[in-house]
Amino acid sequence: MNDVVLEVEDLVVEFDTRPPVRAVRGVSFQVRRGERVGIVGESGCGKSVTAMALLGLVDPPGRIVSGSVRVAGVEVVGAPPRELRRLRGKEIAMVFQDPTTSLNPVFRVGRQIADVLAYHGWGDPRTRAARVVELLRRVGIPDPERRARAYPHELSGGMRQRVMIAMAIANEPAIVVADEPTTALDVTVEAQILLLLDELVERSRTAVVFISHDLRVVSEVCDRVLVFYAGRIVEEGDLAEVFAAPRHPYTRALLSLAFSGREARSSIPGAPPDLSRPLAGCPFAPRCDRRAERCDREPPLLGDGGHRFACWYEEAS
Amino acid sequence: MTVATTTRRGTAWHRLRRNRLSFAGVLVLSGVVITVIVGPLLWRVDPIAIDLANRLAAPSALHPLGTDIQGRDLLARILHGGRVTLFVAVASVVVALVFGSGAGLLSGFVRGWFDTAVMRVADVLLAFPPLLLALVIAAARGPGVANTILAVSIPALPRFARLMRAQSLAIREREYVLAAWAVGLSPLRILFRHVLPNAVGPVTVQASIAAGIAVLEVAGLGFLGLGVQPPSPELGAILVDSQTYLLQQPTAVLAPGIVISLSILGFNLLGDALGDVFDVGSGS
Repeated sequence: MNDVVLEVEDLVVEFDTRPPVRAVRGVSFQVRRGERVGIVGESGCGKSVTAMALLGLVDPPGRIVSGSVRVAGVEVVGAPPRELRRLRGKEIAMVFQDPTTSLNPVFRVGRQIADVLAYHGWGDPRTRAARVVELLRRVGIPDPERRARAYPHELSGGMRQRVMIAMAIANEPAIVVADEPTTALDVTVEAQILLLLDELVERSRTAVVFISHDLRVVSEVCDRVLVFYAGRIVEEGDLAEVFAAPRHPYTRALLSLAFSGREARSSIPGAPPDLSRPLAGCPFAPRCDRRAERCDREPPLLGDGGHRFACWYEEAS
Repeated sequence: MTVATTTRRGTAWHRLRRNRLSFAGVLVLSGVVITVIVGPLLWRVDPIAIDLANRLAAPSALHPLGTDIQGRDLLARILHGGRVTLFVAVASVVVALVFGSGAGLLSGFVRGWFDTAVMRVADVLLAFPPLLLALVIAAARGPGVANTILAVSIPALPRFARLMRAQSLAIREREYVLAAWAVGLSPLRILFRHVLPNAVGPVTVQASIAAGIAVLEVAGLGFLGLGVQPPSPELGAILVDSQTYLLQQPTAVLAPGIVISLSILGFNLLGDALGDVFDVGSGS
């Protein structure tokens, strides 16, 4: 399948703390060109660590124990630093959570975008300046010639996130990883940013890996969704299918939390398992209302190609 | 969503103007600096020309500050001496700034064994009182301009190193540094483009305060005969020379003393001013 731009196979990431924490426990998925994949789950379920692993940015004490990440056909795990630097910003780019801190405060935003272009050998200074303005226009920044000369503190949060997106798409990467890109923004700006990401995918066929704890946000921008729990994928499938007929009890719980009215809303009882210990059986079992004896053994990933889930109950409830 | 019309520099200047004391400090310091730079060009009297017939002459139109025991013009000696003292002091700070903060920047960024090594060396240097360490170095290396710079800069190294390391450690964890890694910048570029420019603020404040201390140390070494050597005029050397005839020619003690005091005061107030500018400037 030539269409696959990102291939993750049995990825395991561990943090060598005391005690060691195994944050990602055997995650596999593929992302195709132009696809929008959402990764959802609670805090600490391994979403962000997975995102960092995609760029080879797992820093000590974290380390990729095993598995493979292939970006545009190139293996990231164990790749030499030079090769990683070529991939980052060129084939795979990232948009971070807090746009107020992810731009260098001492340089004008236009220069920061031009730097990304220059570093990957894009054009000469003149054409780069024109390209910066074009990128800023493309991410919906009014008066881009003037805004290119602004310092980050002169722009609002939403504008800064647009600049970050301009930076991410500067070299037309195959994949953009967006880690909670709208969490720090207010709701109206969030909607604009989501719309923008949507348009960019339509136009450039860039794949987006969209990480969020907010299912409603994911439902607006994604084609496919991966539900993470305790460092594993517990359910994955087309957005419509998963949302219409969730098969894993954790997905069901998340969905009812996200889309129920205020009165009905409560949290999922219990807490995620301690990731410094090995997990025996289904990691969600202690919080599950359908727990049975077979849940003491780890459930396989069931289901057909499109919609898979890690639960012993094959039938939908 | 308006783009601020004031530039960064503009607001910094504005802040400086608002604090009167800081502003006064900047004025005093620029006064001293301009005087010792421009003064010798306007007052073209040889500071080392001996005129034994005019020993200890009282202040007059010919010698506004009088003459010393060898009949040398004191105004010329103060102007040239101030120039030497300030130059040596500032040069020492520049040396300490470059090497001290360079080491600190790198050790905070790379961490590991390099960091440990640099910081232990800094600890050893900090264990000695600065002036004592300067004296030991000056005594071991002998007098002279270059050795004085060395003697004054080495005790100043560890503070720059520690301060810069702390900055470097904090900034390497900032999200824009992570973002720089994520777009594929090399470690060297991240260090110089992202960490260094954001780390310099506190170090410039330290540099200004260190310059005040350096003026005192340079004059101190000169006073003890371990610094810049006669016949080259130097404020500390002028002071020690003039104490023997303090009562006959008080200007010979007062004038260098005042220049030293004003420069130290000026550097310290400038340090405060820079502190204000960078502290507020770090916010959005």
